Amino acid sequence: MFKIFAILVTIISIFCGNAFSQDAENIIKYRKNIMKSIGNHISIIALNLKGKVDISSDILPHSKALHITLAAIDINKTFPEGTSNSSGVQTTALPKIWEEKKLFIDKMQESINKAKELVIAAEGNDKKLIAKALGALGKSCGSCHNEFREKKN
Amino acid sequence: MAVVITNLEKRKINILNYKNFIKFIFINYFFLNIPAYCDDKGKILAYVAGCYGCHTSNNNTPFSGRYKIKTKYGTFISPNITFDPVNGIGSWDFKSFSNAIAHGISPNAKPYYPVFPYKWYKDLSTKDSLAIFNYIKSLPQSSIKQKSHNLYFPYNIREFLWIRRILEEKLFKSQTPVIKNKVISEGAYLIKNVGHCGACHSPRTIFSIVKNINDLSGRPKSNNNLNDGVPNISNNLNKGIGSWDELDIVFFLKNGFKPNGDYVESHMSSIIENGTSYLNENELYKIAKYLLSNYNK
Repeated sequence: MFKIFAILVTIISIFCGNAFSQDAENIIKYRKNIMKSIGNHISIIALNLKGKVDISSDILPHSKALHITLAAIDINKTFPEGTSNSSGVQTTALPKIWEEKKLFIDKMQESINKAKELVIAAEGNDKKLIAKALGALGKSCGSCHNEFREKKN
Repeated sequence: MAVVITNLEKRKINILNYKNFIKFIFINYFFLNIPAYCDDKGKILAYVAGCYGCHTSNNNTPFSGRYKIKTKYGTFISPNITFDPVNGIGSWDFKSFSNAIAHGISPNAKPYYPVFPYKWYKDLSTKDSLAIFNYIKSLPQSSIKQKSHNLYFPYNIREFLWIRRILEEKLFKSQTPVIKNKVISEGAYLIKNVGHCGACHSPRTIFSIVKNINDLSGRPKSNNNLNDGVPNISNNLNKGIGSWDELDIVFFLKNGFKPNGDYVESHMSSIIENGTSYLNENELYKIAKYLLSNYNK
């Protein structure tokens, strides 16, 4: 009887573990896509600022999209417990996100504020000011990455 | 320079536009022959050369030292380099200053640890080192006292540095190529002798001796060196930054964004903020030309 019970527990735990791992994998993929879309908006704005393309009318909508994307991030749902780089799934999210969650939320809010400033600069249509606002946003993103993202190299 | 830029701006030439940018560089080089740095030369050099970045731990007391650099040898704590006569370098003349930055030897004949990149400053022009000297001399003095480095044995014995210097001299003497192209040559100067990019981006060997000062192929991440994990910035298409173009590099060194929209990581963000962002587009363009040239394979 005990043997049957032990086998059942093992099977259930394997299935649950696998399901959890799949959940983690999906959410990590999901938030990586969010970060990539933020990077893409920045890249589009930067291409205009560099003068590689001259579709300046795109700067404002992409600044707005960037701001909306950042502001829409639900930290509890997008960064649930157990999805750090120690979860066994490939991610650069450090456990510090959950250990110092308040700091993480504050840093995220700072980036949202900088993105809002970028929108205001984009409305003004002055490329120098837009570049300055984009730089400030980058600094804020970098400050969060330095604390909470595993170094790439 | 400022007048020229203002005039260009009056004519509504946008230097961020690619074609006009090239035109701007062309006019600059071949007709106006504008030198590398004009306004605030000493300040710009002091920032790009990392004097501010490495000797400032508190923005309210710039150049007063106490900035900590963690390495596998322990923690180095930078000294106060304001002209305070007791706690800074107020008693130094230009000769002492020049000797310190070009040879890594203090006025009392002691060797500096190679965390101070004197190897790169060796070929800094006298004019440029004088500009840095005069700029730092013009700043308010700070009486913040120097703290001792916190190094592991035997690295805390400064005299061992003489042996390291001999090893470096005998085994790893880098040959600097002669560059005939003026733009690339000036870019090389900014990269090597001012920005000392190789201090982080060049592979190292025993006792952290740089194998080749011209090699910017980076250092892979390892567990035994806290300063490891530095990207390859050679012109290699796959491993380095060969897929970037001049505008990507200029924009990156000014704003910190890579072409894919990702922001620069860790220490490099402060190098851009407190260093390369002080350079104008013209100077950054020279750096870009060098980085993408075959001298940076």
